[in-house]
Amino acid sequence: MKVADIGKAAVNIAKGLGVTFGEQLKKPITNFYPDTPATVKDGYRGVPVLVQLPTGEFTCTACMACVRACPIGIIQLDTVMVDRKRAMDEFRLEVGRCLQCNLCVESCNFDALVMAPEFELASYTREPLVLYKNDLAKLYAKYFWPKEGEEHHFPARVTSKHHAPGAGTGTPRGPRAAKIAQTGVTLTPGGGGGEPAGKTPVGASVPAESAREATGTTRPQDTGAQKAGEGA
Amino acid sequence: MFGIPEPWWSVIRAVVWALFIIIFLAVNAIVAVWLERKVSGRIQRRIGPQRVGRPIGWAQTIADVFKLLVKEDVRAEATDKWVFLLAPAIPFAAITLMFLVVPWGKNLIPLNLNIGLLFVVAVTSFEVLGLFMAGWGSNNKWALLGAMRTAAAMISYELPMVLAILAVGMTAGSLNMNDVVNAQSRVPFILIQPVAFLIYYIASLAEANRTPFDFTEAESELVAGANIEYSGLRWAFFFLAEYGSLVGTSAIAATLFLGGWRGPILPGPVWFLIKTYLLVYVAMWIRWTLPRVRIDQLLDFGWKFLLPLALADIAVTGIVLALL
Amino acid sequence: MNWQLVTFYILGLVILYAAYRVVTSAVITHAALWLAVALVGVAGIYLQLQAEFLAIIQVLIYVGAIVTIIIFAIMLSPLREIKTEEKDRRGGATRMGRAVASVEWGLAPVAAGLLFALGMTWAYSRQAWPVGSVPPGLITEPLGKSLMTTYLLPFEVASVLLLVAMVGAIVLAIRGQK
Ligand code: SF4
Ligand code: SF4
Repeated sequence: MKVADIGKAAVNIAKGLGVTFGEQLKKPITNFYPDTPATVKDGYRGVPVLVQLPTGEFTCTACMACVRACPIGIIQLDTVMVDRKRAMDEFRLEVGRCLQCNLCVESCNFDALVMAPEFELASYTREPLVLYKNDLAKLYAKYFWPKEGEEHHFPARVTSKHHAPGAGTGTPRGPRAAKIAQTGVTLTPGGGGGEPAGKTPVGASVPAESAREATGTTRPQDTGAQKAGEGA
Repeated sequence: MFGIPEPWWSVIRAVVWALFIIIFLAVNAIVAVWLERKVSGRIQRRIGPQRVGRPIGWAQTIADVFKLLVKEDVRAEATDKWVFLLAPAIPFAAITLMFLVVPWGKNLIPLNLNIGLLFVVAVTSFEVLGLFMAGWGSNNKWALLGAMRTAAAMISYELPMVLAILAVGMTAGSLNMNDVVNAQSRVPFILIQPVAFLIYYIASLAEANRTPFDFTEAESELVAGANIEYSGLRWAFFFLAEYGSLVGTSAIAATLFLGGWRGPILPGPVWFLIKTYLLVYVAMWIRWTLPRVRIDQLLDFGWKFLLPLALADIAVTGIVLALL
Repeated sequence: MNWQLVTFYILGLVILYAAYRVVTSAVITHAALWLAVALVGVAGIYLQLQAEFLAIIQVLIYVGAIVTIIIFAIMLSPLREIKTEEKDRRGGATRMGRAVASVEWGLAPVAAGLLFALGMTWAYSRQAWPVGSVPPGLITEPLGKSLMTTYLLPFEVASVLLLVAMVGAIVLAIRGQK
């Protein structure tokens, strides 16, 4: 141990003490969360929710892209035939197992699924963590429906490609969505059609695999990926 | 006085002081833990406890005390029974004894010993004995390692500490705590003996097992050190002793170097507490700034740097005193 | 009744018992701890003689330093040796412990202690040693003065002796390392 080392150490200790003393004078950054509402940053991924227009209609086209995209298969979708077209009947998301990976949102070609910054979902059992379409719509309404006297503004779809704020904002794409958006009817959230929230028996919903087979959906994304893989 | 004969009067005095010191140590542990949480919080830009006892969290440590009181007193089969059971009393007793010679104000001293400074050093050496008993009696490798580190650290910091205290005794011309305080009526000794103060303070951090010398109970290596097998009230005694030794060494440092209870306007005990807790705060500030050193680094530092420095300090003090 | 005498006897009994346990304990750490008890008891006797300085130095040097060093040495010694001791304890006593505990060896320290205690009592009750001639508590100054004047030579000789022991220990340690 050299004396010079001790001198150096003393200087460094004094510097360190100065830093920690300075920190004490600064304002604490503590968030008094349960007392004051917590804020989350833009782009925070909470729960994927279904876009429900004020008319009560869902912009989801039942294309099943999200069902296939989800890496753990927690999205389940029931379809019905309306006007000889497939439409979404019930949507089931087991949010307790959700990774917040955003893949379902990115895969949706109609901006019918967006991430809501909801984070207070804790519960004592698993059942409340299974969200049906009306629950998801309620969450959507909570975060994205206009306040009194505001225009309906569709949320940003945060994807890896368009991560800039505001990217992807706009009306939902697709013919049905455009049509619905023009009819300016207001409804209470979650009240639009179908059974009341959470009442659909689980057995009635079609599991992802069988739904895919039953509807005979082609897999455009899969083939695209394969082509890209061959090209590379 | 009050019609009580003299021998009984001194007995009453002793009992009152003993109760006062023990209650002070208990309250101190509560206050010091609260302070530690607050200081650590502020250093990390948090605010520390605030929910139990709003808005400053004053009741948090009291709640902790109640939790400790209702916990089960566990003793493992393979422990060395009497050594294990008696160990927690010893560090606490040592700290209580230490406060016997600390002056709280003019004529406010439990025991006006002529050799108060030596008494302090002597009783603090019991502490390591208690920790060793705990470490041995627990029959647990971590506890034994902690005890061994305590013993090793103690023989390296004790000597510089005694020499630093001796330098103060030389400057004051007495080993009596009251005389030492009186000798600082004009200038506190920290200005006359800054080197001795530094040596004493560093050694007292090791004595109180504070970071950067907390390897005796290093959470990340030894889980808890010598008191690892203890629970409930017995553990609480170790805890009391730990914070007692922090406030004890701070009180001694305040008395020896900062002028003790002397100070303008405010009464003596208030000044004494202010100075003591100022030093306690500094110890906490250091704890949340510096990482833990290795045990051999403290041994090196104690024997190869602090000890020669303390000896040189004593020599210089002697020469200056002889010339004056 | 002379309370001082009663205290003295209690202290003496504690010291004797502790000393007995030091030599008969099968577990070496227990021996070290009993040694600490005995040494603190001796400090208590010093305190009774109003030699506060001696009492505190006794605690500081013997309990604070010597016992700690002994403990340190115990903990640094190879575990195997401590283990053997424990195995022996289960079978009865260690060889040493058995020998000392056997009648003739066990009585010797006790008898020596009793003799010592008797002598102390005699000296104490006769006031043959002028322990009260120095004002209580002011022993430090005369002690320091006499160490630096009258007894300077023995003092220095003792220091040199300790120094020699220290140098010898270092030499032994270095030779052991090679
Ligand atoms: S965020 Fe990921 S895990 Fe969660 S539902 Fe969407 S695809 Fe599945
Ligand atoms: S990807 Fe979008 S449109 Fe297709 S089923 Fe899912 S939510 Fe509906």
